[in-house]
Amino acid sequence: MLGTGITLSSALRHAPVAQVDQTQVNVFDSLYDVFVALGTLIGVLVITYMVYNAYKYRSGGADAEGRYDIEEEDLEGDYDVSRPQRGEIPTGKGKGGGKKLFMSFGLSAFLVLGLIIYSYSLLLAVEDTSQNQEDALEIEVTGYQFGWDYEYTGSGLESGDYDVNIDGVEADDDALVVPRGEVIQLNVTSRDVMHNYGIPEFRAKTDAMPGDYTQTWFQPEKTGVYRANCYELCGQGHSNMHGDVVVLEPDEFRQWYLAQDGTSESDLEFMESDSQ
Amino acid sequence: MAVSTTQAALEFVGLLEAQYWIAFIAILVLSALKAVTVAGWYMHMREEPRAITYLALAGLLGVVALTAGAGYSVL
Amino acid sequence: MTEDVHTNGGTDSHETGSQDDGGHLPPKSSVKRWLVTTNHKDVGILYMITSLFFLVFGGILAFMIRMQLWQSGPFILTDLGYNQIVTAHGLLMVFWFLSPFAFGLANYLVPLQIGADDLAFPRLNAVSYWLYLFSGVLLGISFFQGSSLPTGWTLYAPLNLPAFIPPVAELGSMSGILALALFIASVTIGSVNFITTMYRMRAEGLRMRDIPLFSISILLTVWMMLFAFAALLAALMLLSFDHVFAGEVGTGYFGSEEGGSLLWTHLFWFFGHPEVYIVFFPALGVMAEVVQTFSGRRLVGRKWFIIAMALVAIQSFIVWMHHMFLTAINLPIKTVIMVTTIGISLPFDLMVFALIYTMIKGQVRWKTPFLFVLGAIVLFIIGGITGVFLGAIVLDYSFRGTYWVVAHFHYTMASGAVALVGGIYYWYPKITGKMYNEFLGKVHFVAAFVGFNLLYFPMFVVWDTPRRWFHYSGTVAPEIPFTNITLFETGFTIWHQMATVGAFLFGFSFLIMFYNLFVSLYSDRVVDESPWAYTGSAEWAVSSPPPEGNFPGTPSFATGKLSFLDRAETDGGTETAATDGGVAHAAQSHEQHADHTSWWPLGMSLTALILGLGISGLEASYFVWPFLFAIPAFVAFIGIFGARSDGYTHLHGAFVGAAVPLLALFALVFHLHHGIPGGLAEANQYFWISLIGITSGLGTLVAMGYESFHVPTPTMSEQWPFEGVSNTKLGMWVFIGSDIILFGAFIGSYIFMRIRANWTQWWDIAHNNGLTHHPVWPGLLNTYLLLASSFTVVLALAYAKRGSRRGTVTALSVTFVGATLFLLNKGIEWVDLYIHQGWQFDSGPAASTFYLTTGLHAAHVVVGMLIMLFLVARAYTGAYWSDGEDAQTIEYFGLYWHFVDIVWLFLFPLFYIL
Repeated sequence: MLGTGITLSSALRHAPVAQVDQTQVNVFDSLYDVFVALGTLIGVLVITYMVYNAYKYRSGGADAEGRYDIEEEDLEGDYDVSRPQRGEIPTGKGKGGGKKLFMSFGLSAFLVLGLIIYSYSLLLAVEDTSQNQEDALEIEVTGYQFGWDYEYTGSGLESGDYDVNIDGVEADDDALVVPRGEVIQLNVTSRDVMHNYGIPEFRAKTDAMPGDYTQTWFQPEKTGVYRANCYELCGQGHSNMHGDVVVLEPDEFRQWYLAQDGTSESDLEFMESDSQ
Repeated sequence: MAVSTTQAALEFVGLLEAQYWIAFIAILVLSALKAVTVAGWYMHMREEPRAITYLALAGLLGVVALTAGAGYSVL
Repeated sequence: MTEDVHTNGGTDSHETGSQDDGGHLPPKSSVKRWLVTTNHKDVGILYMITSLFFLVFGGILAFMIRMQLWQSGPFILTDLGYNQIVTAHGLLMVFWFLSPFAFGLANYLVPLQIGADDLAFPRLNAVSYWLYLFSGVLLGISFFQGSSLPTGWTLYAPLNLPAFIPPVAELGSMSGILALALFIASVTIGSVNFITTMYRMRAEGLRMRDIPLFSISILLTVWMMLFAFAALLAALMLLSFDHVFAGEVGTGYFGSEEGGSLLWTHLFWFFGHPEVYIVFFPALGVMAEVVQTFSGRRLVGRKWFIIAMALVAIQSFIVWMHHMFLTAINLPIKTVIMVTTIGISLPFDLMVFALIYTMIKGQVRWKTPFLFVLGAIVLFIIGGITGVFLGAIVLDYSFRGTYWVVAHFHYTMASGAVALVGGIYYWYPKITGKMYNEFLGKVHFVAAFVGFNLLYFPMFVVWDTPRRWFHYSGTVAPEIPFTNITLFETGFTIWHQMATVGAFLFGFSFLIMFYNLFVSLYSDRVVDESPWAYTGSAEWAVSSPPPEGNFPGTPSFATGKLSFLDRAETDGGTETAATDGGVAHAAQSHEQHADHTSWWPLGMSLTALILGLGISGLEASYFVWPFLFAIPAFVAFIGIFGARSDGYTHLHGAFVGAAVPLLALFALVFHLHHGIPGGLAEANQYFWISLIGITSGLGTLVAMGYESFHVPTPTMSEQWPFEGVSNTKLGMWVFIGSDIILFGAFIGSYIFMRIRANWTQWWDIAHNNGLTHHPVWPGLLNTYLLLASSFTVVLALAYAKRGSRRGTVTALSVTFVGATLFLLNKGIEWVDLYIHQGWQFDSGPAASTFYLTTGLHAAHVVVGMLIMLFLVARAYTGAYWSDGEDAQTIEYFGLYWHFVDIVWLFLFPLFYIL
């Protein structure tokens, strides 16, 4: 079993479907659309088929005496099916349907398997980017009741040591500030209870567990102020636990970042290599 | 009882330090041996229908799944 | 007392009064009947009514949630209030409504469907019910202790620990945890009971594969319950330990830095995923039965349907990590779990198709039960398809913790609930003998179906709402798939308001049902055996409601069709008797009669409630004392009740006499520890409540043990695959099966933490935490002691079989002495480790796992010793070795004792050598 997991994950990792240049938003959107389309189609088909048949074979016989349902009729001539009889042993005699059953089963199995394998290749793309990203801004996120702390791994710049006084940007001082177009690599943990760090616009999400680190990443394409929410019940402030995520143009970001104490050009090498 | 003594003896001999995983397996195999003896003879599992054994094995299998899965997930 | 008719399950008294051939059962109009009954049909009705009460309870909480969500931000509830209500709603609906609702039907129908007179252990069945009721009462009480659990129904760690629970909620949280533990006790007893019944008491000629589909679904459900709930019990015991003894951050199990948070998710979901099917399977059985009847056709592919269900039941234990895709588990295990998850979704496809194909070429009548089942299938298809979305891990990453999950699981859970409601309409005429009002039934269906979809479908649209948030306004507005068009400028609000409207419609539709079912009791729509055409299973072959003894004669399928044989001929033998944990006096009563009443299930469960309430506030330094003080009382009870039941002997005197010095001894130790006057004065009221609870609890257990309660075992029944294993012995084995999981989960937690902490450096870490010396020899000595005591139990059985009173009593006493020495040795060891070396309960993971795992084992030893005291007293007065009872009771005890021995065989190397 465990072997399967390793083989599958390594085999599909090199499959052509995996496209590393997609952001999590692209991956999610395309997959979600496929699922919604297929899901709706199948759902409508199956439900219609069921209700249609239940209606087609309806029976409205009169109430029998002492009964609140129709008179039991022996319809052997009508259809080649077996009717339940009171006190019978229910096995056996039931004829037909098996082949049809397995056809529909096979069809749905084929569909589900196809969907899952397709989505699995995308998963590997997402996980690969998450783990093998060299040119990324690395940030450690620590959840607490009730907010997020950030530390820029390169310089050790931490929330509380910086402020977010940027022209035209309205955001709290404990915001995460990142450059547009770069891959942002997050290592997420918690210092008290379990949280879940998620930025819905960027489709980045991962659990924040005390004593453990989990990873996720995103690649913002538009500047602006976004929200990082908590997606796991973490106490009384859970419902209001969110922080700002500020996306700046690369130059603006460089300017802001270097203005903080203890930072240096060398922390931003990942941006250089990108533009070359 | 002799078997338990062997288990403890294995530690005193120092095998645990020298060859931890060999000793580990040896000790657990000895435990399993004792357990099978108690279940088979004291609990009359040998004389009961096989289904009783399957029942106990089903429980054991569940536990093994939990332990293996949880343990592997953090390796 | 006729005015109580309606409160008591609404069965018309004069309808059934004449059929009261149960001997001791008071009429249904009497309140007393419902307190003392052990009849499976009565218990079934009690289950159904109680679960409907909890439905209303959980439903009112749901209204409060939906009210709060009418607008974003604060509205009618506080932060803490909202968290409590979210938690209690989930717990009540899943544990106290859905499963027991299904088990009400199961209690009523399974014996009828398989041709049994009652369940294998009727008195334990009543215990199950009362424990269930009182566990729910304890959860209710928790609201009045300041605040109930505020952690969400998943109780994720470490939010579930005292360090993070607001002080006002600490008492209530502990009560909530204990309420769950009581509920598990009820479920485990119920599972043992159903498994034994279904394997051992089927009518002649009815093979396992032939039993009706509803019963099959219940069989698979109880198997899953047996194993899954034991894992939850383990998790809750570890959690209680953390609450009482390791409140600080970073200590104990779930606060531990060694993956404590992850450990909880593993344990919880190992239980939690099977629980999903535990809740849903009975509904699947109802769907199959109703579709068969109302289509007038046998289920298409019945064999495959059953195989698919069995596959799901087995696989449900290896998919739990799909609830944990975003936690710190590694990618290979995610892949494995994804594969097993796909594997488990496919059999459901097959089942749904089987149901649909059954309707083709049928005689489909669109009656209320059929409508509900049809609606349930629709909801299930929608829930299933949206579930496939979650199976794709990439999508799951985004859906985690959002309303997509909320909507998805409400579709599947409510599908189960709606199918069960269909089942209620379907079997209502069978249970009451009256037909419900068809028009009102259809109105109920339409209102419920429209209301439900209005409630939950909008949640798919605004799925980006974070779960358990009520400040949702700042989140992104939903878009239409494939486009960038935003739906409504108001954002999420309008959709949540739609859902709230739907919630009220859905909720109020149930008032129609209550009205319908209640008023129909007094209608003149009397029904005969089967009001429906094309019914198949045996319950439709008897009158409605069925007679007290279920069948007019001994049911048999030997001819290939149900027939009733003359009882006088078939029940000739009196030699086999199951004792239901109590004492059967088969020899005293020459004519076969079965007992149907007992006060003790109610009494015992009530003391369990008192004890649970007491423990919720028990302080760590007082924790052990109520239990110790109860032991002398237990010894005295055996003496007193024994003398009353079996006649006075010197041994009874000795027991009562021994209680006094024992009490004095414990009092002395207590004095050294706390000082008697000061200690008792300082003890809070929960100490006294616990003391009363445990003392009276042990008293009721002894009384129950001495109560004469005779249950005849059918002499002509299909017993494959457990022929030759008596009911009680099978029950014992099944219980051991669940105990394997309990211990296994403890050991598994130990192994998990040790792997996390680095396996080979485990003891080095322990030494850093204060352990100076951890010798092997106490463990080795205890292994000798336990193995020897196991051997003496074997001797006791041999003597009992030979009829030697002296031998039996001596061998049992020697076992008792061996167990005492075991505990003494362990006590000395613990004192050395705990007090002299200062290696305390919360001194790191090695300490917590060592004390708690071996402590659980020691608790098993103590329970075994208490049982031994009872056995010795009984053996001395002539039980087991004389012709009064056979020696088997000793054997049942032996199974337990040997199992405890086997567990130690593994604990010894794991905690002492390796």
